Amino acid sequence: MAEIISFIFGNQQDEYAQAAQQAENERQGRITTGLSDVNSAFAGFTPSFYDERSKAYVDYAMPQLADQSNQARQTITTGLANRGLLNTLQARQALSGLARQTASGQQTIAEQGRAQANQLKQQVEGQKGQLINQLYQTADPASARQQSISTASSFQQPSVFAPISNMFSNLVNQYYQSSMIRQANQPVVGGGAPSYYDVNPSAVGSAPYRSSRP
Amino acid sequence: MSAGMAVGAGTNIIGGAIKAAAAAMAQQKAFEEFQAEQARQTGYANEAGGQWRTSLQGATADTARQQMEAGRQQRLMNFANVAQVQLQPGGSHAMTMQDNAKLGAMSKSRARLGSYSDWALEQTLRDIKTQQELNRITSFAGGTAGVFPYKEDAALHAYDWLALIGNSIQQVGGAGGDTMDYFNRGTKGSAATTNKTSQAPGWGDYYDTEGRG
Repeated sequence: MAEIISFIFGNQQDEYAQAAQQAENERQGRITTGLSDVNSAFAGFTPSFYDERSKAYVDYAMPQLADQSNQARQTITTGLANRGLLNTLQARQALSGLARQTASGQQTIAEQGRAQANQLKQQVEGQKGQLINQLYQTADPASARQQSISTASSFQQPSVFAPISNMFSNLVNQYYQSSMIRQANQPVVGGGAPSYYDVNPSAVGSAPYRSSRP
Repeated sequence: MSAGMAVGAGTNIIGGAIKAAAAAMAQQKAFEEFQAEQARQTGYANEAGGQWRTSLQGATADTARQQMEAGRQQRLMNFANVAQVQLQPGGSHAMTMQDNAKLGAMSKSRARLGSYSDWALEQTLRDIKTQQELNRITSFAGGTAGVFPYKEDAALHAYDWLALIGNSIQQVGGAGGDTMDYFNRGTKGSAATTNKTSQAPGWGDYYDTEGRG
């Protein structure tokens, strides 16, 4: 009887409205849950994580800079020694320039480390935002959780860094050029070939140059 | 006016009044639903506005100065840390005072220049987070708005039962009045009605009074 009365006087539209409201409440609940899951998955990306990322690049690049610096130092000192200029003002200037260039390279590496950390930070936040926007569309917290864990773990893996470029090529070239100019301006005494080939790196194959290579 | 007509008219008025009341109440309820929806949407709009204003506070010149200063200090600290690492035998001893001065000036300039990118990054992250929040609010507001037509429809039909009662009173009353008329005519037997009842028993007066006969 109650069913009949409800059937006759009941408001079917009200039931539709209640069902729609319940579905919307559930959707919002799923989105809230998914948001919480995404935030949990990305919780590890703290400022200290990015500092570590920056430090990892510095630790990776600094030995390469040291190698480059030592090679440049050997090249310059060998060239100076070949000309008997090791304990001269020119030598001090060249080595001072090398030290300054090395210190500048250290700053560059620190800058690059920070830039890479910042870039990673932007990528992480961008990816997280994309996942959240997908969540708003799908209201599927399970998918959001899975994707966010996958994405977060891919970002947390160690990065593959590219080798650093040669930071001393300009310095060494400048040194060679100035040496060439000085030698070209020197008067030739007693004839014979000038010692041009001693310091010119482009004269590949000349015996003195070969011997001066580390 | 016969008793049947009076009953018919009375029930018609009562039933009509009930139906009118049902319609008015349904309209009132629909309007209340509309107002409630407006309030909900206003709430969402206010929440979005709050997020936007909070975000804007992070875009002021003062915030920019603070973020750039923080970035500059951080970079100077990084430069100082890497400078501790000795890459060559002799290291910084080879540098002259002039070199040190140059390097110091360069590090300050680099730190200041780099601080702009730190500030830009902070602004980008702020934009991303604000956009996320605004998208969430938009999604919720849109979902809530999607329920509104159902609620409005339900409100418009909330008093259908009352309208049904009014309609029933009209129908039952009208039929009752006609029945009374029919029996009244049958007992009195007037000429006019007798002639007509021979053609349409019981219904002639109804058509006459309505002017459609």
